[in-house]
Amino acid sequence: MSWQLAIPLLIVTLAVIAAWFVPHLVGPVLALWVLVSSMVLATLASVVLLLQIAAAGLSEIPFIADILGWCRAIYGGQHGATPLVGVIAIGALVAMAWRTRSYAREVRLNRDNFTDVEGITIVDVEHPVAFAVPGNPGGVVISRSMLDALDKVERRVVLAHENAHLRYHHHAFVHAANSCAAAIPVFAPFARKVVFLTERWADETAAERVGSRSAVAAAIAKVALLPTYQAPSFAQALSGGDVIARYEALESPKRVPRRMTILAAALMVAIAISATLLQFHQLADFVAHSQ
Amino acid sequence: MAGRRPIGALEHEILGVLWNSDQPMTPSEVLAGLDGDLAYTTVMTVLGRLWNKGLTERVRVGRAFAYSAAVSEADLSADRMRAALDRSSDSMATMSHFVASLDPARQEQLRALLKKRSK
Repeated sequence: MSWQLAIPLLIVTLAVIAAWFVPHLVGPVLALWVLVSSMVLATLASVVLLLQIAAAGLSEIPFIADILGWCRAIYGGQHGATPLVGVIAIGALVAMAWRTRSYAREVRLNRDNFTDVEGITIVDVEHPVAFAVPGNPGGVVISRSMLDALDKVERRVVLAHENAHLRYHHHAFVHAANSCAAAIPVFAPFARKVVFLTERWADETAAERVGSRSAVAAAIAKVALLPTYQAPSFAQALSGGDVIARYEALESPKRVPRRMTILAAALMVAIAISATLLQFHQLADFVAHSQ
Repeated sequence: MAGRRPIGALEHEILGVLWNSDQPMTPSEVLAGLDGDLAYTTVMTVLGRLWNKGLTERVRVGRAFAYSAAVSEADLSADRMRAALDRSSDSMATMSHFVASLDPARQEQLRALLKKRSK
């Protein structure tokens, strides 16, 4: 087994690293697409490479090689992947699958609490909250304490923001990124960036709706500074992106990317797709020749 | 957005229009305040739904009803949801909130930014 088999994965990994910097150059919509697609491709390429290592390692065990009909004359002892390495690869795959499944379960449990939500649902809880519940049709949950704390424009901002999450299926981007991060823990900061970008996208949509980016910035700041919002039992782990970065982005001029930047981003994703397909091809090639 | 809008989205938009008006609005006034070409009957239906949910109030104006947002009168929904909200963090971790909470240092930073803006 030669290290060269990992070249496609290396290329995709480089694409993910480059994608980290894309949000500094383009708007949130394009950045989100580039980041999520490169994360998904890198995860796929990793899984494929691990499968190949596992297959190569196992093929050196005569018993398994016989069952699979793999030709020992060609494959035996040639791959550099010992059975031990193969077993490690299988262990990694199992761990990835297990962690991704736990994440999916957590999402489902969270969502099950809010299956009745349709349109706008107002709840009487002390802390001001507003969040989108994806689904069919899905909706927005907002606490009366939040509504009471806001004026008309701010209410429109919050609803337009949450509605943008539903309309543009932001949960799909977030769950794809979080699943990748569950499978490959080093992706965790990338997944956080994906959450941030969905918030930015929703902020820009809300700004278009109310006709003012400053109004959205002001609403975000106001909600973030509501005294009751800081209740310690509630405060942890709410994923709302980095509030200050969102505020600053809205108060600075809108980013209009250059055409060359957009082309470069598209080219990068195309290369990452090709590399992932190549990684698939290598596995298919390996399995085909073992018959 | 092209195509048919989901009913939930329309509820939002219509409430948004109502919130933006100081006076009760008739369905045709609401229709005029919305973008896109919606049918009058659709707006009527959604206003009716909002009224049924207790999210709007209405008064008779001539032969039609005029609606205003009545959010503070709205009723709570399922106990399960409320329980989840009270349990908070864990049961909410994968939901996307309007804003995340800030630690005190970040709050100060944000206040400073706001002060700089208002100057």
